[in-house]
Amino acid sequence: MKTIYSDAHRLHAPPLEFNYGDFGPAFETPRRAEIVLARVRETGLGEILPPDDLGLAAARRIHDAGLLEFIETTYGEWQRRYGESYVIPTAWVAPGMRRKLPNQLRARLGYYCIDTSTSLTAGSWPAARAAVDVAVTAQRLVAQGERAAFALCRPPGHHAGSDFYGGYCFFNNAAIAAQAFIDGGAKRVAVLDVDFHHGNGTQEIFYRRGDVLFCSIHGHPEDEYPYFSGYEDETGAAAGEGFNANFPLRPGAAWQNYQPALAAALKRIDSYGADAIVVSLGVDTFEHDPISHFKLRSEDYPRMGEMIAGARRPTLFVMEGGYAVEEIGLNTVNVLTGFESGAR
Amino acid sequence: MKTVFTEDHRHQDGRLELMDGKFVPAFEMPRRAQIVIDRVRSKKLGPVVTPESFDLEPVYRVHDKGLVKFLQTAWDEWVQAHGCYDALPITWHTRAFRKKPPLPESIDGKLSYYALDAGTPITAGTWRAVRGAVDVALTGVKLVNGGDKVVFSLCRPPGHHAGSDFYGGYCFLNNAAIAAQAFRDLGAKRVAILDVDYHHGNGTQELFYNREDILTISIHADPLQEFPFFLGFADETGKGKGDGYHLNLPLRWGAKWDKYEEALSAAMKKLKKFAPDVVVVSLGLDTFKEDPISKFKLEHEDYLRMGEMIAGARKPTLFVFEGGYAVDALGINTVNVLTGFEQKR
Repeated sequence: MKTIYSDAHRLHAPPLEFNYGDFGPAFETPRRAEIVLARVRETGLGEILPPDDLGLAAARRIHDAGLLEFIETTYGEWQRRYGESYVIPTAWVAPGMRRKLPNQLRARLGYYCIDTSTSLTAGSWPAARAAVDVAVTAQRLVAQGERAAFALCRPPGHHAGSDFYGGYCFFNNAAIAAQAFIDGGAKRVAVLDVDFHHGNGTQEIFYRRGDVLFCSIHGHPEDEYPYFSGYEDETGAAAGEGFNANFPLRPGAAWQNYQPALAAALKRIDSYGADAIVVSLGVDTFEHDPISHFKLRSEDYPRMGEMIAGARRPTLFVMEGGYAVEEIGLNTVNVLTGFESGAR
Repeated sequence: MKTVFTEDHRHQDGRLELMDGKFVPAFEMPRRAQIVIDRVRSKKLGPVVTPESFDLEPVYRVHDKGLVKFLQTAWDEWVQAHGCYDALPITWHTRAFRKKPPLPESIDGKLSYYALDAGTPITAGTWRAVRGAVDVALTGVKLVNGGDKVVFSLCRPPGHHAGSDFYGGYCFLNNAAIAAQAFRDLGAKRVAILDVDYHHGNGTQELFYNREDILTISIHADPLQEFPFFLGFADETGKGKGDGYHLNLPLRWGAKWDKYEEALSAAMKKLKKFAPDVVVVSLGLDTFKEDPISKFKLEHEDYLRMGEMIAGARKPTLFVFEGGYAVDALGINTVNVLTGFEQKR
């Protein structure tokens, strides 16, 4: 399996994040991608290729022009206005308020951003753009006939919606790739999100569409970020009714709990008849993840890969979360090698 | 004019607040109320009385029981989850797939469910201070209801950003709204709330938006420029039976007394026409030219004029203290409004 990777992710590296009432060391760090890349090399998974420079067309198919411009321009404006500080919102569109774009930069942050832990840095824009290139370059390999490819994206994407960002995500790499499959002629695409956190951005983007099935297995929103979406009864709307499937699991879920949820999700994907599968691959389901509460072990990840291979569809893996940095390479590549042995 | 005051406010003492991407010392601090009570005493405004203790029924008339319970238990849950430091939310509901998502079980989820910003820390003493502020407001109601023509409820923490089931903007429970509803429950047919705080009273607006028995008027910085950013526009005039019973008068940054006086005249005209039995004033002084987080340009003496104009309604009036962060000037400006009112009455 080929891996697409760009060093540009390193440009986005906030040293701290604001989480749980205080600034602490950032969980979403460049080292994450470097460790995954090292493991890809070490295991001889396959060629590692740079992305093509594809411009913004694919991102525009998913994201509002205002959001793209905001991510591009805000850091510079913020520095001029407020000096050295973390570019995060402190006030937001609370329930009952109106979603009107304000003039003030600090207010626009509350309009576009959904949490306090995702700071815009000088390098967010080039890094997020490169992640989109990585996703779409890998998508093209699969569209051109590769059985599978691995888009080693960073920053991750699945919390970013049509006009909002957050949860360490700026642009929704997986959703952009899914749309690229559709634009390339696929009739039906499935996005399977195995990150520990609900892929609220991906859900929002495709909620009213029947041509993209979204399945997500994640920590129950009553317990876990993003808290306000990811319930089982969110099944899609309008033309998308029946094409959104959430499989929330309680904290402490181990493989024995996870496996039936994954089997159910794959059954949905099978009966849907997807032309391609995009996997939002987060490995924060790992037992030692510092911010998550599932109990998967390293040896469970090859089984996850094998099960996904069992769907027998062209498959694009897109890197999402996973914060147990030392084991992120092992667990991620375990999924990919498990897939390869299952696909044989 | 009697002032109702309790030292319990000191239990809300947030260390830091998050502003523009960094921690800064909390603007909403105990010294604010101290400086006002000192000025009330030195200017001999009138007797300072301690509040009575009320049960939570008048609070439940305005706020969701879930919010009230949350405010009582949040600190303990937070300490258990994270340790002994001020609690702030990390996310919020945006574009949820349901009108009202279920209340999360974890403390971080609950904070994110109820909070409307990350600048309002919940501390060990928050609940005690919040209860005290509600008692201060309700004692003011009792005095006015018993015949006092005007009373000053020196509430802290402030209240006007808190709504039926949300807190934020340094506010936890809406003292002025609880007072207005209490007046209604004691027999007043019509109550007017005039909010002169620099920031839009979004909580008060939300609470009475459908009501024609409680007129709400707010003069504040344009939400396109200023917190709470997403409410407080001129076209928000009330809904259903309450249509026509809400008035927003947003002013642009830099407004001086000439602009402010025009808006206040319009507010008083609307208020007089409504002919309320009683007036509740949400008294914020962050319209002052030296306020560190605000951008209006009122001067000390403008507050005397403000008090005189409010007295022109000739109605029983309860002043409820809200914001104002130019702490050293806060006593002068607050008491200027109150003495302006008394001189004109």
